[in-house]
Amino acid sequence: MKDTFEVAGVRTTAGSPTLKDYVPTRDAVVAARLRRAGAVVLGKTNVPPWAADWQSYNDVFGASNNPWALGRTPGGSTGGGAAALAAGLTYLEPGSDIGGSIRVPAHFCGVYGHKPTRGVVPMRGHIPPPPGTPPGPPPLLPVAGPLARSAADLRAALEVLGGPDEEDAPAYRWSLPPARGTRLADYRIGFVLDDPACRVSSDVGDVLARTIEALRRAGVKLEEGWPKGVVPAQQYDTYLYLLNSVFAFNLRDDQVEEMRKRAENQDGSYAAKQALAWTAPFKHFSAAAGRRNAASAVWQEYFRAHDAFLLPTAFVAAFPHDHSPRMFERRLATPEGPRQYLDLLFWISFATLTGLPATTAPIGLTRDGLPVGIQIVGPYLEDATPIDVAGRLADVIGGFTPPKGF
Amino acid sequence: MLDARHLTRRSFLGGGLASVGATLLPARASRAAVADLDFASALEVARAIRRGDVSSVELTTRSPATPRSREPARPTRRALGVTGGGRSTACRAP
Repeated sequence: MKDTFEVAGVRTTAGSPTLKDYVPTRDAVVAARLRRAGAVVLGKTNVPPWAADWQSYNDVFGASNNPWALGRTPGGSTGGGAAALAAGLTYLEPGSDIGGSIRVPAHFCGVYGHKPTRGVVPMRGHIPPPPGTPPGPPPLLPVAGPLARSAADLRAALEVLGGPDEEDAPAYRWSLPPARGTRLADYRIGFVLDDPACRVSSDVGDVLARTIEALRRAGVKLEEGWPKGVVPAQQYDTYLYLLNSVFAFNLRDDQVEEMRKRAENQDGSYAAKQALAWTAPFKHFSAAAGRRNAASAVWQEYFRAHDAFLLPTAFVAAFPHDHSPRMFERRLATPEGPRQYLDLLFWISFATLTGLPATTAPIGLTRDGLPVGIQIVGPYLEDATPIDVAGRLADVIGGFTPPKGF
Repeated sequence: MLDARHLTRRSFLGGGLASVGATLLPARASRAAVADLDFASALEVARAIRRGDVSSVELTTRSPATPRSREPARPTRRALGVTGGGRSTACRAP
């Protein structure tokens, strides 16, 4: 159980020293539903403080390593859970995702992860927000969803986890629509393997390209290119604005003033974009929310004629541990040179912005023996379709394999 | 049969549980067969439990024990090549 989900009677820290002694009295919805389905909670898995990193280390429990290469991170924030699955320590792991926290660890550890359609899985009892926050409508961007060693497990877990929370349950019902196809050749699939706004490293790109070839040989109807009307850099900017806005609520007034000065110099950096989102008038937020709705409409139109869209999960494979404190200043090594750490937000942003379901499936290893996962985005509320594509993909390119030595 | 009045937590986890399992549960899979399920999918394991090939007790008592047996010699931060040394402070993203 990811240590961001409250489990009654079990310490739940969200990786934060401020919660090191916090013991909830009630299960998160996710924990309660899994238990009701017969699951046994084996323990909690490690996360970064407040689930806010792509590495899983903290001052409460230390750092989690990637079983494929101990000197590298398993990812985050569901990093401990993805590592546990890859190492054969558990059978199923509930995760959560606002900036790739299900998909990136799945990609780094060679397991499956599914970010459900926004609102399908209730978030009550997840930290953040802090314990005791009253329940509300589905949040703007974050979702909860499963990680597993097979696509079939993802679907089974989603059927357990999905459905309205207690306040909505008297009136609302949820059911999972069937997948659109029953074999790979049934599917009309679009794909993009690279973009000038966030170049994919060659070692990851090679594995992605092999997968596309395997799908072509399997008779899948493939179409390369972004959906008509999608301008990736613009949608990414909208996502960043909304993501940063989510975290503005607990800023102190003196921090806001400091940020105002930083926001005046819009140099294209992540820091400047964050400062703008934290200080701009509310009308800017409303405009960004409007752009999000427009983006959702464009993607939904695309899915009238297509069943799924493939894209990278991240531009790099699992990277070496880097616990330097300033995330803005971290850099990731690639064969083509160093890259900004926060570029990890790019490829996961489209499904999160639009609330669409997205499954990451393992597709092979880089030349250095590190796992690569492809991201499969599906139509709104049709989560079974990307999960089914992920499962059938295993038939042509292989699925989960344990790391060497495990 | 074990006498619960004399059963400490340590003895229960260390050996008592196995005895209880051997007494109360029908003959199950061998230790090796349980280990074969380490990398099975959740659905495969659920089917194995339903068939009676393995019990949920065997699986749950094995799983928590596994991390220690699998952990290589505890690597140091230096051996792992960890760079930096503080909490991240930029944005709350992922």
